[in-house]
Amino acid sequence: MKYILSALSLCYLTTSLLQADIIMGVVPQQSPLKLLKVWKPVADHLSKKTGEKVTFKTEKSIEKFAQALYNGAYDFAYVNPHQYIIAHQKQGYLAKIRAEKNIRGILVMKYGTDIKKLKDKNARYLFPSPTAFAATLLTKYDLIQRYNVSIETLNNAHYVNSHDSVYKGISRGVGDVGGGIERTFRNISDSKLKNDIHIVHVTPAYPSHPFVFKADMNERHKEAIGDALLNIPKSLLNTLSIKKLKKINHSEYDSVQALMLKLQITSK
Amino acid sequence: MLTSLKSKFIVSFVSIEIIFFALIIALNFNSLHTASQTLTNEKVQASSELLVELIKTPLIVLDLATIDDAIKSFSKIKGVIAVEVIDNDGRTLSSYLKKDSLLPQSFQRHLQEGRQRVRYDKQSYRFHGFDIIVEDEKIGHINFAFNTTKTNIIIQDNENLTYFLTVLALIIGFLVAYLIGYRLEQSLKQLTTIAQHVANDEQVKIPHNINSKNEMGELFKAMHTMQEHISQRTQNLNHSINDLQQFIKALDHSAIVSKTDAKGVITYVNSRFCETSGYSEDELIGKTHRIIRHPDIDAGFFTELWKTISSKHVFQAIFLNRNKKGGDYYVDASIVPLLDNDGNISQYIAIRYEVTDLINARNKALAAQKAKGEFLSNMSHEIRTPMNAILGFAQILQKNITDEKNLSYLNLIEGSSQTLLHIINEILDFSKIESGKLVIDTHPFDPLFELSQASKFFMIGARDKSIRYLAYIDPTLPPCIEGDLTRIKQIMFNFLSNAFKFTPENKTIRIDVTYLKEEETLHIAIKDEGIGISQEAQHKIFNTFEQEDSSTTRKFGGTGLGLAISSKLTELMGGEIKLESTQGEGSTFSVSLPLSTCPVLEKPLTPNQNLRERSIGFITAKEHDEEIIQLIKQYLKTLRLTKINDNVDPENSKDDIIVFIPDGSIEKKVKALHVPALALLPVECDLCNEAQKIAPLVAPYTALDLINALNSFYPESTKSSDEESISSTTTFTGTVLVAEDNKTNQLLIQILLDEYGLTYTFANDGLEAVEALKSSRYDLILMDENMPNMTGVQAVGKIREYEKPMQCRPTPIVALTANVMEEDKKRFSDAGMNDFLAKPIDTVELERVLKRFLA
Repeated sequence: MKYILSALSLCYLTTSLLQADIIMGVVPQQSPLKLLKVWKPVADHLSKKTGEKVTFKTEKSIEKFAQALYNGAYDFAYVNPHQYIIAHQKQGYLAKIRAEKNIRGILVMKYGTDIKKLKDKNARYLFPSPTAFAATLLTKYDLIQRYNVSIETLNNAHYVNSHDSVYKGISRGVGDVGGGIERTFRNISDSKLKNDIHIVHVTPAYPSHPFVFKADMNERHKEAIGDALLNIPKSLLNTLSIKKLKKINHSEYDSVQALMLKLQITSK
Repeated sequence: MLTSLKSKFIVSFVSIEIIFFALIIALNFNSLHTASQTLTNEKVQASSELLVELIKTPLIVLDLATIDDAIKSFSKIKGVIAVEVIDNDGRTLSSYLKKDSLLPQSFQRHLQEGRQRVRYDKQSYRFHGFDIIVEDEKIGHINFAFNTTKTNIIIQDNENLTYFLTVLALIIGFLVAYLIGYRLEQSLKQLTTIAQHVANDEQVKIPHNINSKNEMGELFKAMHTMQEHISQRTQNLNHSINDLQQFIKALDHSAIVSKTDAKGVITYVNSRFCETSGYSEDELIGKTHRIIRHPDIDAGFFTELWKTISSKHVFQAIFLNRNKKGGDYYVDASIVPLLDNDGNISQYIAIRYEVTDLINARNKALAAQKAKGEFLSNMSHEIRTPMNAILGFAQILQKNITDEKNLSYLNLIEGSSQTLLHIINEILDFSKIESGKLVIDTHPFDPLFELSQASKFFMIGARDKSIRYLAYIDPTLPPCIEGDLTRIKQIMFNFLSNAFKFTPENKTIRIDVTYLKEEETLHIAIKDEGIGISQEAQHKIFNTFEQEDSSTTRKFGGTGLGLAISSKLTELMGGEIKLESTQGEGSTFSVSLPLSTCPVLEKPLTPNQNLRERSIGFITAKEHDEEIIQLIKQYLKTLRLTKINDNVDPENSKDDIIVFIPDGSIEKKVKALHVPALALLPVECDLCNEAQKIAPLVAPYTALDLINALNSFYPESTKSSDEESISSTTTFTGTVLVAEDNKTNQLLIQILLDEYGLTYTFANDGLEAVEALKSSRYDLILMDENMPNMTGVQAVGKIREYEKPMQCRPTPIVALTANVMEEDKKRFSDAGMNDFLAKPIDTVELERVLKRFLA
């Protein structure tokens, strides 16, 4: 009996020692609480499926997250396209999986606010973070292209850390126009909030947020995580507001890279 | 209303409860409110500060989602009703309002109105708001609303509970106090009832539990015990009262009883009083005891009586009363003051017994006694006066007659006279003993010398009866002891006299005199080999007039007074007399007398120092008396003359002193040695020769004679013999006046004084003596008592009266009389006489007196 117990203990110990601790980063598009609620189950699923320990991590703000990403803090991460491009440049992250659906940025305003405010140079703009791809970059690009509004020159934008903050800020009158994305807009749980603001502009679609894997991540792990993600249960996908995930490669984000060049966005 | 113990107890108890509970409630509530307020404030303050810290950073960046999340988490804190974050423009950035609590407008209104505490719809709210400052810059404002109703409810509930419990405690306290008070009241009522019954001497059963340990139980037990004690005491008291009544009844029959008040007024008399005094009760009550006072009694007596009893002492005396008819009666009265509870005299009780008959009998007895004494004194005087002449002249003739035959007749006369004198003395002593007038006269004396001399008194009698007479007088007797030598010698002579009387020829009589220093006791024992005394007779032999039997009196003579007198003398001297005797073998009479030592007056007699080194050789033979030899050796050892040689060869002796018993053969050999020798002999000593230094040591072989003999062999240069010579060759110088009416006695005295070489003058009575003294000077006066014209005492009084103004030395006056009673001696001494000589005249005493007063 004691031999069996010793063997089992050894196995567990070995397993514990051999079990990798894979860090999964997620861009904080929403409040950390909400993120945890949504992404923890995903991490657990991935752990279960891969047999490895997958840990969910994020930061308080998108900037901080971006910094951590660029420093290679995550083994794999769910990032916005803009962050991917820079991460790819700095740490060699590669995009492997994304939602089938493309991403589009939106501009929201409070119901009752004159649409003309969109073009008002005195309007107050709320964005999640300066580098939020769809919510900030795409919307800023369209504001320039379509409405001839250059946020950078006006210097009247506030970066309120999360999409939720944008929506709440617009609803509560802190800002006049806010940038976000369809998914997070759809995910607004507060019905009163949701009914208080509306989308006034949608940008063209770009590839959505990818799951990117660090270059030096164990191939086996990559494979396993990738498989697990592709086979994630529908219920979890629903919480992510993603219909389906697909395999991709880096070339998907060439358009993003071109955009960034156009916006002269560098990896600061 | 509050008179009873129960109500007082209840009111006091409940009042104290109310006061203390009120204080406790007040303090408690105050503390509770204060604590609650403080806690609420702290909670509000702390939680709001915490929230502010959490939202500061999100507020700066307008991260409303984070602010919302923070507020959402904050809202979970109990009591948080509403939170509102406002930016500097007054916009509500984030807010929370608990459902079904305050209305938003109410919240806003209260905030605007600046209220901190609001009570609204039965709820209590606490409003709190403050600016959010970062780096001294206001970045926003936050408002809170807390529902403090629960806290207040808790406090209220606590208060209510406290009130409830307080009231409950008061009620219970009241009930308990009431119950205790009630039980206490009941117990006290019960005890009161019991006490009343006990006070009224009524029987009552006191309930008690012997196992009870509480105070009431103890009280009941104590009451019960008290009841038992009271009952017992009452019973004893009743017995005592009963006994007392019996005593009073008995007293009434036998005693004369009266009571007076404190002033002496008679308040009660018994029947005996009336019978004896002859007065009726009515005649006595209200009067004082003066009514029976005898006129012959001195007023001072009653003054003393009153002084004694009024100072709370008992007065007791026998005195005369006078009855109503004028008759006299004696009473033996005891008058006792009776004291009240304060110790003051409340009354007197007099208990008297009529003793008239007793007093009369006593007076008669006294008179008879006096008459007897006077008779004895007179008889003694009348017998002794002619005895003086008989003995005196017999002694003179003994010295002058040489004819053996006539001398023997004279000796018989002298002996018989001595015997008669002895008998008279015994009778007088007996009379003194009977009247209690025999006095022990203690003075210092040398026991070795005196008792050695006394023991030699019987040596002639021993020789005549061929009785072996030994005396061991311990040479280490104290040189001085205090006692009545005369009486000691009287006892010794009585024992020796009996011993010589009852011991036949060739038997032994031995006297032993020793002294125990530790007990300070002189022991004298006389052992004889006489007829002995039967056991039966030993018990009565010391009784007066008793001899062993009447045949003893016929055979041996005697009055039977000797041993009785010796026994009485021993008793008076505090000693003890013993007899051991075996009929047919002999008797030992011994006496132990407690006599203390005294400072030595003269240096005691001891062997000369130069004898210590002298060897003493004993020349003895088998047939010699070993007991005598052992006696001498005992003396020598006691005297520490230890160089003794036994069975010395008379022809080769080198000893310095020889001791031997002459037997006809040894004497010549001893003489040939030319050394001092001591011959152990009966009285005579033919060979004793001072020149040849052979000295006799005669029976009873006293240590005194031994020391004197040895000292004479080797005298020390400065020492002379301590032995006093009592030879009649002593002479005195001086003129003597003799007051004596009897011519025969005058002649006798004349002869005696001539022998001493004295000049003398005779006076025939006291009067002549006084006149003689006035005309001439005398060195000594010998004064008789019973003389015509003037007695000796009267004459002495006159002489002293005459001498007083002359301031010269008073003439020594010695009583020379046959009045030998103690009271006579005292009378002479009181009169001024210096000494006393009894008739018949003892020459030794006469010489002593002459030596004392003449040169």
